[in-house]
Amino acid sequence: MTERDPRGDPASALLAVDALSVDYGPVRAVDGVSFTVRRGQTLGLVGESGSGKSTAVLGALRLLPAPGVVTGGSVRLAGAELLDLDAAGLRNIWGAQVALVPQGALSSLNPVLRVLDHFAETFTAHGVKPEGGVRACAAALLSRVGLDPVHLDSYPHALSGGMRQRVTIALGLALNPPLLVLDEPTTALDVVVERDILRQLLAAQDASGFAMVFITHDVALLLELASAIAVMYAGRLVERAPSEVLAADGALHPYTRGLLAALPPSPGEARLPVSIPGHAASVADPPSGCRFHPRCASAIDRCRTEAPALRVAGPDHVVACHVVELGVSSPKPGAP
Amino acid sequence: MTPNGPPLLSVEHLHIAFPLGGWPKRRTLHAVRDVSFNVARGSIVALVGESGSGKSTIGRAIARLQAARSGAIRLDGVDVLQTEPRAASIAYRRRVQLIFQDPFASLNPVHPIGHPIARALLLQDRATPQTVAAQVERVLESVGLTPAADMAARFPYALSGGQRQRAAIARALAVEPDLIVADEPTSMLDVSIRMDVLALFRRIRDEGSRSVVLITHDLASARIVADRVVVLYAGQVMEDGPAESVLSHPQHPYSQLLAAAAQRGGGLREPLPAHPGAPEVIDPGPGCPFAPRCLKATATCQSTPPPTVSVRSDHLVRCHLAESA
Repeated sequence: MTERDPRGDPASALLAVDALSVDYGPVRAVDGVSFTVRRGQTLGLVGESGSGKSTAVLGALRLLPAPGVVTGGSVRLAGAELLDLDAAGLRNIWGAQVALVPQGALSSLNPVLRVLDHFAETFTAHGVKPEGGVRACAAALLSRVGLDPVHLDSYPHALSGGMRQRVTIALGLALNPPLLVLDEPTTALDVVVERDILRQLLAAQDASGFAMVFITHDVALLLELASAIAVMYAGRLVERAPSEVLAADGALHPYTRGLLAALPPSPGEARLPVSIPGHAASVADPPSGCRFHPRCASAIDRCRTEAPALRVAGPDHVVACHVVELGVSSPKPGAP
Repeated sequence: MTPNGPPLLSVEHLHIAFPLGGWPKRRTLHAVRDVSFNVARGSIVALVGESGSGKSTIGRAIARLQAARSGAIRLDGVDVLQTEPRAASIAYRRRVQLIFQDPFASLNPVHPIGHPIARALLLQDRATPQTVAAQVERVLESVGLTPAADMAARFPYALSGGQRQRAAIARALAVEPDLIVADEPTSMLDVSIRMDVLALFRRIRDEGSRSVVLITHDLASARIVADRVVVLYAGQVMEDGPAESVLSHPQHPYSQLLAAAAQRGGGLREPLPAHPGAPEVIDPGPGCPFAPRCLKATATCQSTPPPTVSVRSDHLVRCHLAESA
């Protein structure tokens, strides 16, 4: 797995999102979400549809289209406040300091441009003249993600879904940014293609040492891929913990525990997956108090009236739940 | 569980092709080639494979939404492609129902969800205008959409994804079919509620002795609910056997590749046991369709169609390298 920063203080964080809120008109889609990503680290952001995971990250990167508006908080990328930047400042950051690999590779590539032109555009916009020329550099990038450079002269429509996603990842890596944000990059792909793309992505990360924010609804994947996992429910962060802690049955929030229990068992595991009762709460009409309480078997009266604050549960481990007794129940393998 | 007796559904040497046009030589996409498998009464058979494997096309052919070039689809021994060549009779449509992947697209947004259920019941003469409301409520209750009277009046927009898919399942169940073809019924649903919908298919099998053809790319879903698994690649059956046998001891190199790719818990940095590539369905060669990607392929695999080998009881593998039991 990725090297963890031994110092662990927020000042060393590459990306520090603090109390971020995002509104869609009267609806608060993201409510006070905080997380940090250290250099070279992979943060997994997980939640069901409508939990605000993509909105939070797109909002933080100033990439959210209207009517989404960031209404509060702070986002520091390598020390610079992203929420204060003007359009020109953002253009310098996007691609060079942080690159986005969006969901739906077809809609993110320009249908009238060849693959090569996408790379040329990226380099030109940042005034970069790659060594050996654009074509050679783009060919090397494609090879890194497992795509034959012969496709440089193809148009996006001629590529399969997996090939297009490989192109968007290669474009993200073009300027060698220290942070890559991937929004459900493999959700639409077949398992075999997904696995191969992830392998190439990890090899690229091992070679260049970039950090990743990986947005997905696949917790099982994050347990393998990420060093830390942040769990969102109905616009709020409910738990954030090192992956090893979650993998070793150290999850504390009932929602996180439910997500892990809903995973299909691995071969030979004599466990039947269990669904969480009910359905995901909507941010347009959120339940009072803790937003998970209508689906929670452990809910008490206080959960219905008072939103729980994030509390420290261990090193790099926070949880927002009234019921969890920190330090008493659920032994935490990562705790001192 | 493998109930004895003749199978409810038997697909034999099914071939489905789509003309692609082209000049001077017309090209043809062979979506399904020589596919045969059985569905026993009261069992769940999973058709698994990647995009382009032909699994949805087979499902649509069984539901008679797709014409076949040749082969047979026997329901209780009667080849419906012969007896009802142009379109399925209303009696066949009562016995075989299809559930679509996307519950956001398969329900008409301008009708409350009770409407399609009532319509199916009335069309099939299984209800009168006087009794239909009560019957709709009973069906909705059976899929866990309660309070049923309130649910029947709700429009799709007011339901979650999981509830919509339950409504679609209720629509299919209303006419008490013998066979339900479900095309990726859980792939659009959130992980936390997927299991409930899969459990519903198990209940449909166990309580009504109905059969289900479950089309999925998700081996984990197949493992949880299926009695049998049929693995497809490039429109051909690669492996067919009891679910536990196929999923825990895959014999075909393609099944082994699928299982390795779906594996969680380590090995993400390891290369997969196959060459990169995609199924060739437009100009398939004479040999095994998986041979170009297979690490073990020999010259024979490229040139000769593989035989179907019985590797253990009731477990078939179409591969030159498989050893018969």
